[in-house]
This record gives sequence, structure tokens and C-alpha cells, in this order.
Amino acid sequence: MCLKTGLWALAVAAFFSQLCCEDTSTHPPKPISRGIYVAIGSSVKLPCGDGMTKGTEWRVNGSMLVSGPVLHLHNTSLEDQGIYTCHSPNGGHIETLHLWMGYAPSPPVVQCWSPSYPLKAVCSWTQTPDPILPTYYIATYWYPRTEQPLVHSCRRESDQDQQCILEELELYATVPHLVNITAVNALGSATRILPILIDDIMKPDPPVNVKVTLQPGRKLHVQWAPPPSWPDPVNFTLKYKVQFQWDKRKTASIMGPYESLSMVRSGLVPGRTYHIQVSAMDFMGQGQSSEWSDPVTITLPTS
Amino acid sequence: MLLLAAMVGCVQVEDRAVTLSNERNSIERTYELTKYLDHQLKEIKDTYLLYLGPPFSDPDFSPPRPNISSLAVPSAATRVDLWRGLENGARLAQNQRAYSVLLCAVRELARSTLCPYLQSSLLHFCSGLSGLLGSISGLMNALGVATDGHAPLTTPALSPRPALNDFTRKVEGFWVLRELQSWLWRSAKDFTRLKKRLRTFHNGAGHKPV
Repeated sequence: MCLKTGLWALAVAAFFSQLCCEDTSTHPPKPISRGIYVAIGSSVKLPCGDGMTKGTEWRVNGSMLVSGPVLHLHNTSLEDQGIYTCHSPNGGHIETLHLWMGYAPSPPVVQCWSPSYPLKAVCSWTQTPDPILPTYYIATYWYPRTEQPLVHSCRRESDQDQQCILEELELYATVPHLVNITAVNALGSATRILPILIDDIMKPDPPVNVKVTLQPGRKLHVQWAPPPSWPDPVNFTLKYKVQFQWDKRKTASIMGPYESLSMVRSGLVPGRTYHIQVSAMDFMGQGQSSEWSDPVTITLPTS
Repeated sequence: MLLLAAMVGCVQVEDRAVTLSNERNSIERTYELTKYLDHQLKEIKDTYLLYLGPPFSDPDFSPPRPNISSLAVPSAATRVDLWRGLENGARLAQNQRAYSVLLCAVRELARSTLCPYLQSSLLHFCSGLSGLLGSISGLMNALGVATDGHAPLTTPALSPRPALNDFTRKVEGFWVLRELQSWLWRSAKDFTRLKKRLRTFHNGAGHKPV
């Protein structure tokens, strides 16, 4: 009786020990998974685990790449981007490596202009070469006053946007605003500081609502409206030029500048088709002219 | 009696209308003079920077502004909300103070310029600046604004120049022209605003101009 109970207790203990006390030495460790960023053109050594275990091999997309604990990649290119896996001699999966290729940021090429003078200016920037890797930007600006210069954040929709809006502007300043655009990604960062005089970078958007009507005596009456993005055309007057093109746009003549919102051109050729565009500029000639408005086409009757 | 009073009132209103019309004409002329001077300055500035030589003649060159009493030009820099809110008298007074100092500064620049063509251009520019100053003072009188009077002409805005190749003196000259540029840009907008404020005041009799 005693022996039977003892044997039965041993079996239960063994069963439970199997249930709750797993022997980890028989189960393989979970594979490591990591991502690394590599600059295109550089060389890199990628050890598997401790980099010393013999018989391991590196695979990419399931195919064997190199046998050995260390993967050497020389003069890397974009094609080296991918998922690399490292396997033990018995085929066990030791490590997964996501390799991301790209470039460290270079100082952004920044351009600023003011389509909404005097209230707003816009700065946009590009990166050459394109970093490929996800890159975010920090955009700030300040005006170096003698009393406490304030650093403003240049407003953007998101950190990835490559354009921002400046709103706290100092007009008629002799000392420029300083715009600081910093690009950051996994491979590093780069900064550009651009000095700008707001009055120098005026560039209105093109005029809108361009209408052309035929008048008696082979005349064309052209009218337009200031761009809605220009906040104060009363105090910050614009002047306008009107371009007439014909002969499949090979010949053009530009008339103006006009401070009014319309003009009349006479002496036009019957039967000819004219393409008319209008551009705007600050009345003092500061900054740049706007782009030409979308062309309006009209053909004069032959009679 | 009533009719007579009404007629006198009518004449007074007409006098006021004529005065305002004269003022608007005067502002228009001052504005046109500002545009003319801005146009002249563009040419003089290019020649002067070539005369100063590199690095001043480099397109993106911008030296730090010297913080010295000899360059005590009131800054044209302003925020748009402050600029809009300026009273007519204050607006004109700021222009007057600035051009008083700038006139002295440009005279000094002309005096110490060794190139005869440039000197003659600068002196001609000074006579335009002097005209502008006179115009502004005239406007201030017409609007009943107290004038400061011109800055003493014997005190130059620039300290005596020993030698033209002194870098600091060149930086000062650079900054005088830059301040002048800013002020001409600002003045054109100031006079445009004045024109419109007077028109609004005249059209909406008794209402505060926008």
C-alpha cells in the first residue's frame, strides 16, 4: 500500500514538473531582429550574434549569401537594401537584419518668397541627393533684435513637409531675418541658415479672374483682379503687366505696367488668335514679378 | 441769418476740401519723389559697392551692423500692426527724423568719396534728399504737426574719415546706403497710406480714417 502511494506521488510530481518546469536548454532562443541604416557607398561588417560562431551563414531572401559569422558589404548601393537572415549550422534562425540604404542629409537648398506680403513669407527646400531614408526637418527663424531676439517656429503641416510659413515679420529691416532649416535622419543631420530681407523677397501669386472682351474697332478690353493671397492691395499696391502672344506663341508683346485693374489694346489684327496673360509685381518694383496667369485665348473676327 | 450761417459753413467746408486736396497733391508729389530717389539709389548703390571693392561688391555680402553712435539712423524696421496704427503726424515725424540723419550721412559719404563721378552722383542725390525733407516738413506744417527741425548740419553722422581703405569706414558707408534703401521702401508705403487715409477722412467726414 505504502509503495503504491509513493510510486503514484512520484508520477504526479514528475507530470507536474513537466508541466510547470520547462527545460529551456532544449528550446532555441528567439531570433534577434534589428534594423540598421547604412550610407550608400560605404562598407559595413555585420556580425551574426557574437560574430564568432563557426558554421553560421547569411541569407538574403532565403538564398545563401555568404557562409561565415560576419557579412562584409563593400561599396554598398541601393540594391543592398533588404532583409538579411543569419542561420546556425543546423539551419536554425539566429538573427534577422533589416538593412536600410540611404544618404546622410546635406545642407538643404532653401528658397524663400513672400506671396502674402506683409503678413506671410514661405520657405521651401530640397535635398540633393534625395536622402531616401525618412528624413524630418526642423524649421525656425529669428530676427536679430538688439533686445531679446525671439526664435520662432516656421509653421508646417507635418515634420516631413518641405515647406513652411513665416508669420512674425519685420518689415523694412536692414538686418535680415535668419531662417534655419535642419534636416535629420538616421545617418546624421545638416543645417542651412539663410538670411532674408522680407521686402526683397516679395513675389505675388498671379492675378486672377482675367477676362478679355472684344470691343468695337478691333480692341480688346482686358480686366483682372489682384491675387486673393495678397492681403492688402490697398496699402501695398501692385502694378500689372499684360502679355499678348500670337503665332502659336512665337511672338509676344508686353504692355504696362498698370496700377489699374484693366486696360484696352487697340490696333489688333483681324482673324488673329491672341493668348493673353497678366502678371503682378509690387508697385515699387521690389522683389519679383508673379508668374503669368493662365492664358485667355480670343480670336478677332475677320470682318 | 440761417442762410448766411449755412453759406459760411459751406465756404468753410469747401476751404477744408481745397486744403485736403492740396495736401493730397503734396503727398502725391512726395511719393513720386520717393520713387524717383529709390530709382536713383539703385544705380548709385551698385557703383558705390564696386568702388568699395570686394567683399562689399560681392552679391551676398552682409557685414554685421556696427553698433556705433556715428550711425545713429532711426531704423525703418517695423511690424505691420505697428505700422498700420501710426498716426499721420507720427508717421511723418519718423520719416523726417530719419531723412535728417541720412542727409548728413550721405553728404559725408559724398565728401569723402575720391571718385569724381560717384561724388557728383551722391551730391545730386543729396539735393533730392533735401527736397524730400523739405516736402515732408511742408506736409507736417499743413497737417498741423509739430516739426523737430532738421538735425544740425554741422554734426556729421559719420565720424571724420582718415583713410578710404579703412575697413570700418567702408562698413559704415555700406550701412548708410542700406538704411537709405530701407527708408525709401518704407516711405513709399507711408505716403501711399497717408494718401488713402486723407481720402477716407475726406469722404467720410468726421469718421476716423481706417
